[in-house]
Amino acid sequence: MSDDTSTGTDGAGSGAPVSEATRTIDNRSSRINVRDFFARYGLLVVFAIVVVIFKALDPEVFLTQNHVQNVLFLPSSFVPLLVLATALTFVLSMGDFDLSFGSMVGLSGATAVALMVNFEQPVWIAMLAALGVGAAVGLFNGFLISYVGASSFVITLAGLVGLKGIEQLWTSNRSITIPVGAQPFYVDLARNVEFWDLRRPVFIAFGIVAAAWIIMDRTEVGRYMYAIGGNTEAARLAGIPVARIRLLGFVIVALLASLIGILLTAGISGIRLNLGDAFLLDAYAAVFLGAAVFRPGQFSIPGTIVGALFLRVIEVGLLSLQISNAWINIAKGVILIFGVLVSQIMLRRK
Amino acid sequence: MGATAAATASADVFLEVQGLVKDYPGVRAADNVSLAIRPGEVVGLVGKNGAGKSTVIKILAGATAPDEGRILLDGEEIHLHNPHDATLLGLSFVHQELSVVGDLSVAENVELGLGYPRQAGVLVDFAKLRRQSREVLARLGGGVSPGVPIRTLPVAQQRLVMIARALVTQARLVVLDEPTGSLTDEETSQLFAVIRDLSGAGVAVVYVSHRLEEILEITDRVVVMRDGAVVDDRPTEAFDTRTLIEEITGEDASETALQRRRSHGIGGPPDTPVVLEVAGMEVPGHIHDASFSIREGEILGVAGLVGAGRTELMRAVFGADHRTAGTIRLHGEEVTIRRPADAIAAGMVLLPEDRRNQGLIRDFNVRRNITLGTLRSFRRARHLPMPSSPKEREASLAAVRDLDIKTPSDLTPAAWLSGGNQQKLVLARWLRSGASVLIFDEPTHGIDVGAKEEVYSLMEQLAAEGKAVVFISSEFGELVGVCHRVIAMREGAIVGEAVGDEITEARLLEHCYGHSPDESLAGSDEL
Repeated sequence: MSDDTSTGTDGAGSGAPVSEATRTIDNRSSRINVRDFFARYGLLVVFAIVVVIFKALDPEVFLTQNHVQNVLFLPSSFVPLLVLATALTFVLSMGDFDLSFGSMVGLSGATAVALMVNFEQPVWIAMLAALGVGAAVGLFNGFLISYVGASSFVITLAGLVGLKGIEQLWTSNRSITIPVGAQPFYVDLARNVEFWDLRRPVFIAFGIVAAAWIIMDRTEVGRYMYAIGGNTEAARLAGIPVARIRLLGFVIVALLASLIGILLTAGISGIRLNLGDAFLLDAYAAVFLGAAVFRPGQFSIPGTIVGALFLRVIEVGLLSLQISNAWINIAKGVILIFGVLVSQIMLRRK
Repeated sequence: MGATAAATASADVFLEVQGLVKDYPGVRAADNVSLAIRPGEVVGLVGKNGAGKSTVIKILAGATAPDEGRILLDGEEIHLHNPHDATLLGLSFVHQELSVVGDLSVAENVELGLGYPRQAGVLVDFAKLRRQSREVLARLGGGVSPGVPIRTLPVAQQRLVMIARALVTQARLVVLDEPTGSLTDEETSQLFAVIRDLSGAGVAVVYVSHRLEEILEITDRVVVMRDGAVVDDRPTEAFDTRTLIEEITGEDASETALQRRRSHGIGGPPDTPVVLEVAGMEVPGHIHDASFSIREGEILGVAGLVGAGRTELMRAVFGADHRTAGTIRLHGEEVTIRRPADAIAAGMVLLPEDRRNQGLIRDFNVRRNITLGTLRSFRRARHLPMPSSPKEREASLAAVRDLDIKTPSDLTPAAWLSGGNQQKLVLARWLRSGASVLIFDEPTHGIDVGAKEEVYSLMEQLAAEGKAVVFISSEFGELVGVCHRVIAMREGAIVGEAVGDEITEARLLEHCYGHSPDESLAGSDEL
């Protein structure tokens, strides 16, 4: 019986035996409950309305099996968004920032592809090298931020610029293509597998999200991360190895960004410039949108999943209505402001 | 009571405070306080920690509003809504913690917020600003250059700059709160010269200090506060150090504490093995060569005035702050403590002074706060680092029951609990850990009388179970009422000790004010 997840800690409506006193508080005013409901689930309601509208406007295509498989869960856009937003949730929940993971995606992909194509290394060396670079970047960021005490904003901003430079150095600032038929294992990473006809990266993404959810919600490390985010000094005085766990957050982000770099370059059989840039801001948007549901103000993996799905549905829905990219970006911005504001206003009134 | 104050007020009184009352939850911080201040007068304000000095100052500064009472300036009632109001009316405050903007120049700090001189209406006329400040600073002596960033100056000169600010505003009253805290003797006498100048120019000075020699030297009149009320207000000639300490201590408070001590049969420390032995602790700027030890089942009090280094010493022992020297032995063996986790693993825990900001994770519920320190003991299986909810629930419900924590449920956010119950929450976290040394830093601060007695009983119960309890408190009465032994700290050093029946409030205060009757201890102060 696990009533004690971060998504429902106040006990209302959970399976735990609720004391008389709590029940009294809950029954005191139904108005408070309505507010509370909207603070927690308002964004989900909006999400549902948006889905219904899109379905009404485009009943033949929107959210059919084919549409979900090939458009909504498109490996080259939904997978990076979901995985990077999940990774970002770890550092944000501890009150840190990471701006470098977009560039890390490109650097990792470039490392793998350049090693295979330009240096004719076997695929396993290429992939290990890409992940190794990610681990090194994560350790570097984490060491400077949590042990030396530098600002995570500045250090990872330096990473955003610097890692891109390294990528340009290794690729001579040109796209590299994996020749057709070469590296079948690598290219296959992004291919369909025979299960519900989804591509492999989508399954990998789901696996990562499930693991992240378990880590954040059910393990000691996850609990410590939330404690650090809630009150770093109190966490330190409670004996939590704060520096080590903050460092772990940056390593997780850089490693998952490396993995995304591998999957994206496998999907397009090569590396092109600025591969990961587009996901930086969308990932932030998804995580912050996610902090407006379930437990407002608290970053969580389930929230991040909702945020990422919502952003993707808006994008896909508007695209299928042949609405231009400009309006899609505007819509994303509006949803982000709206989602965060609604839950904050509801919380404040309480 | 206003009538009494009016009666004592002579014609030249310019600032009068009548019947100020200020209540904080559980404590009356100012209890019918009346004061009258004349131009050019230097008034000493003394009292123990929490006697109400800072509350009166905050009210005069407009930082907090009184519940009752009024302030008269030149016979007219004034209302101070914020510190700026006080500045405009000529009341100037130099607080213990200097509020300087480090990167701005001396001149910019002197006139910060007072409206800089302008050029063409918009641009700051820096030349004029510097000239003005130079004139003011010249009056104070000390040779401070107006152009340098203030953070490059020593604290003594920074304090002069803040006094210069008072001169610029044509202040009629300057309040100096613990102004000599970090000054050398020479700097102190320079400050005294400035105070005499101010006084000669008709500016009244209120001088708040724990250093009684200074009070006796510089002031014309001394106001003694105790438990929120003014208990004495006479010309300085009427006092010497001993009579001042007597007035500051009061008899009633120590009497109730002594009664508690007797009725609970508290004596000296038990004859048990030493648990914790700390030697030669050094924390630059805070602690100098501090050594102490504590036995099983002993309650060791740590007395001292605010800023004496009690919290800093214990934080360093616990590994929360960095020490440059010092060894720590637990059960006779030297332990390496670099961070709190090391101390906890060795069996030592700390209940921090500021429980809201250092003890609790306020967004976490009661259950998660209780289990946070010992989370590894709640695993589903030995090698699976996942806490088990049923195990956590069982432990937290037991703790809520055992310590009588008042909460609707153990899933209530910790932020919703009252101060006393938050304190118990942090205690509950550590009781499970099986620690052999528990350090309580001001555990009764801001909690009501009933809850205080509960905290004392808990400490006694822990001691009876053989734990070593370190009890830091600014209320000397409660140290008298609870401790087997008390060490006193002053200016970062341990300056005295009282054992068993020697523990009286007067004796502790004598140690803390540096007026030790014991020759050898007085000698060691000079180190």
